[in-house]
Amino acid sequence: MGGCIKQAGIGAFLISAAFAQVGLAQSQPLVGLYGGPGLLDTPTAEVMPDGQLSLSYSDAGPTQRNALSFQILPRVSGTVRYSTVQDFGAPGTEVSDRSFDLAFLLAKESGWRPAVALGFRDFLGTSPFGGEYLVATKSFGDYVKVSAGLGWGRYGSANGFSNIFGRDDRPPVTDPDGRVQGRSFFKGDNAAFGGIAIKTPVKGLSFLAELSSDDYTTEQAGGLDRSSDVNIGLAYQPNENIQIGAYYLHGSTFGFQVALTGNPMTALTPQDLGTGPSPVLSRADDAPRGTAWARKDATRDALMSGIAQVLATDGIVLEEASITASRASVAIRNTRIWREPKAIGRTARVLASVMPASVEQFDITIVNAGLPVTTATILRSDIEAQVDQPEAGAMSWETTTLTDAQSILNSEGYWASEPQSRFTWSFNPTIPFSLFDPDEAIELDALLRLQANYQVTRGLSVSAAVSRWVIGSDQETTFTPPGPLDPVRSDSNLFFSGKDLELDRLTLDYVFKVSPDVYARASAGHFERMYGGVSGEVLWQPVNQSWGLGAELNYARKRDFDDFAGFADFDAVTGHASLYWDTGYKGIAAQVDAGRYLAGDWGATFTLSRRFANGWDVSAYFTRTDVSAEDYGGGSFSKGVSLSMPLRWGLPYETKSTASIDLGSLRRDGGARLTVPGRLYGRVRDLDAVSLERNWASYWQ
Amino acid sequence: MRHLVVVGLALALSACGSGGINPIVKKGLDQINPFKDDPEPSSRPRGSGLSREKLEAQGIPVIRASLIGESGRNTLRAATANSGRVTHISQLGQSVTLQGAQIVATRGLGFDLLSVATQPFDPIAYPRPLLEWPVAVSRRYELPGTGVSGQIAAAVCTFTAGDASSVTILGKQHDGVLITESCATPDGLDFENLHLVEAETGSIWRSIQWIGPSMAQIDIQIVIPFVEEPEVPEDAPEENG
Repeated sequence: MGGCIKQAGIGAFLISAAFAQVGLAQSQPLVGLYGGPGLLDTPTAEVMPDGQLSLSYSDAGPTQRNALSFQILPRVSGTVRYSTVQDFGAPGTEVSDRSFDLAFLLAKESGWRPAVALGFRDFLGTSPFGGEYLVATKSFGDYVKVSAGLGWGRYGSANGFSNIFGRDDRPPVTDPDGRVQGRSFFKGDNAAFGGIAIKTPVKGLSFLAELSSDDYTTEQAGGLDRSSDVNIGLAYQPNENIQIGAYYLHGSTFGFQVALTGNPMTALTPQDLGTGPSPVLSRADDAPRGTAWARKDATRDALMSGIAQVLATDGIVLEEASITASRASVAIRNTRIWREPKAIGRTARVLASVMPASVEQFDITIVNAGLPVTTATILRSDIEAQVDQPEAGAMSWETTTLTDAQSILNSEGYWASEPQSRFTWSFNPTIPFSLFDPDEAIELDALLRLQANYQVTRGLSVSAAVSRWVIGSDQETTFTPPGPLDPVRSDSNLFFSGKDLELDRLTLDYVFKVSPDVYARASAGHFERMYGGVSGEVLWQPVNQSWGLGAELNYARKRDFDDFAGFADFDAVTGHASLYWDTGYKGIAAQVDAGRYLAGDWGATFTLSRRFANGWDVSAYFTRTDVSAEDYGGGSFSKGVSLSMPLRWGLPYETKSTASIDLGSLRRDGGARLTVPGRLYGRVRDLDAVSLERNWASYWQ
Repeated sequence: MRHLVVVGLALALSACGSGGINPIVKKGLDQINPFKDDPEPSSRPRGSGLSREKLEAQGIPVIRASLIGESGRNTLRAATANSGRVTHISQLGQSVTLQGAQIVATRGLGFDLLSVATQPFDPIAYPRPLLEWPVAVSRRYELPGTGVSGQIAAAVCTFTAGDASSVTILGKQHDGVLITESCATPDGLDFENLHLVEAETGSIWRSIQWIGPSMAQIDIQIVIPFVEEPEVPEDAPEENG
């Protein structure tokens, strides 16, 4: 197990826990058998709360479905689903299919008007479940919801009638697969579907009945007995985060479903449990404001050492400072506090409490992963006027100036901390999360991973990581290339199987600033289990700009899967130019990486992500290169969804650790990118003005 | 129970590293760790050993506070006063900020109350004789959330007088009237506060208040109240020695 898992971890556990939050008393839309809002087979026009994630499993006769659904925006939802169908088309033929759905709420329910939604099911690829629909849902009191719709594709396959647009011919699925089946949309027969959900007197229990317009033609060819258009079932929601269902479908088949839903915006644990910030006492009007102290090294050293000790209790490392009679410039490294404005605020409070009265200006520079990124300039008199006052968050945002940090602080009154914590390490038992692995059912496994980092100087560091499967599968030693491309990723099972101790990373990295808003990185060593080499990168990302540009060039050499640190014969030159854009709208960011991939193919990766203020990140991506769909293999091109969760969200104390899972397509050789840990954008993205503003309410916390 | 399992496992799986952890969590873990390096002497019950005489001699405003459902009370001492907003801090560094008897901020209790804006005639924030209380007041609660101000809850609160009552706080009895304060926001956040008010002065000695939708109410007792020093007019004649 684990061959297709790019990243997993404690996230598997906590993300599961995320779906089991204690719910509120409100009614939650039902999750259908396809993973999105729906009754059984048929969709509804209901929407989940913004940001809601739903994880579901259903099993009905020959069909099993795993689905992850996400309310991308208040009116847009998406579902990625992995389905397995036995006897599909013919007895003994099993298919496994990844599919993607999108649904758009066109109108909310209001007065006598129903909610109306437009949806596209399984709109990519071979599209065995593909269909489009327009559906309306109306509530009658608190107990009854009725839906009715018109569908095409599979939704138009039972009791269909002539296309209402006059386009009766629905073309077959394009060959090769993996592409948007746009030329088929809304074509061919259309059919009506509908259903009703009735809340029973038993709290949380609903009765469902629907008229399905899906003929299950292919499944019937495999032997499915579809003797009725009517499906019925019971759905039990003990709270708004759990749904358990039992169903009777097609007049012949019993089934069940389990769905867990949760919302990234609702944390599992108290997020502010712990010590409060230092209180701020305003300087008295007649406080002595002499400046002689600034000329005494001993006074300055004592002050900075004391401040460093206080900040250390919050996990803030005071790396260096430049102190004059009127200004204190400090460079801090925030090792623990998730929200960066909180770290800035806590530093400002300590400075305001401790620095002599003559100091009026604080320049607080955040150093992240060896790079000084952003400087927040804060006037002490503003802190004193705003602290404890209403609307202090908004006022402080108005009076704080953000600038690109200089590489080094002014030499006047310079102070640097003693290097005490250059070495860091962590040990993370990892529970793999393989929802979409077609080769493996869910089975118990664990990966032990030890990581260490030694900071030689501020920008120069050595990083290493080793890991070992606890249970795992036997080491694979043979591999058959799936196509004409060099096997750059398709042989990943050679590298991820077995239980030997493996070297995941051993790199020497140097990061520095070329100018205040230009960052650079040079890395050498083993980047990942499969590749090592050398890598160089530059990034232009001004702090007050919502977009940035980057470029990366790598020489990658494949590692020997059977040799702890050795290399194989294959090598490649890869590189990308990147555009990063934080739209500022609901945390949505876009990224385009265009360039040369490991197999020598040229193309681009497009990523759209929604990053919540508390650090949750849900991303969808696809890669198109000059590799033909035939050469690429099943799926035509690389695409997927990834989920990143801050552990802080589920823990009652500050930590900056995150857990990620990647629900991507199979590892193919086309569009395969080198994994380089510590890329520059990840080091700076939470410290630009847009990101800081998103969390600025925590400044006074 | 589920949260305990989540937290326990998460701790076990993720807290293994060179970084430290929250001191409160550490204190909690120390309580159940028989192998801790530096065992503390058996701690006394919270609040024991406090005496009004000692506190009054120190001359520092003091409150006692507990979340509803929590056993025992914490003693918080005033650390700062900024424009009449007094921040009281516990030994663990958690804080409650008061304007009069109105809680206008909390830190470190679970989910912070960032700030509260009160009206000048709000009798909870600015004491006045009970007979002069307005029918209703408006308040703006700032809670953790996205953006520069977080989540805003704008509440309208009305007062209802109840029975006479009294409370004894650290040996001193205070008599007053129970006032129920019913608050509602346009978003449907309804909550109630309860105050023991000294009718003649409007001083509030005990108060149970809402501090956010994710928190239990907090019960505070004013042990030593904050008294703002009167401003001395600039042209006041100097006293002769």
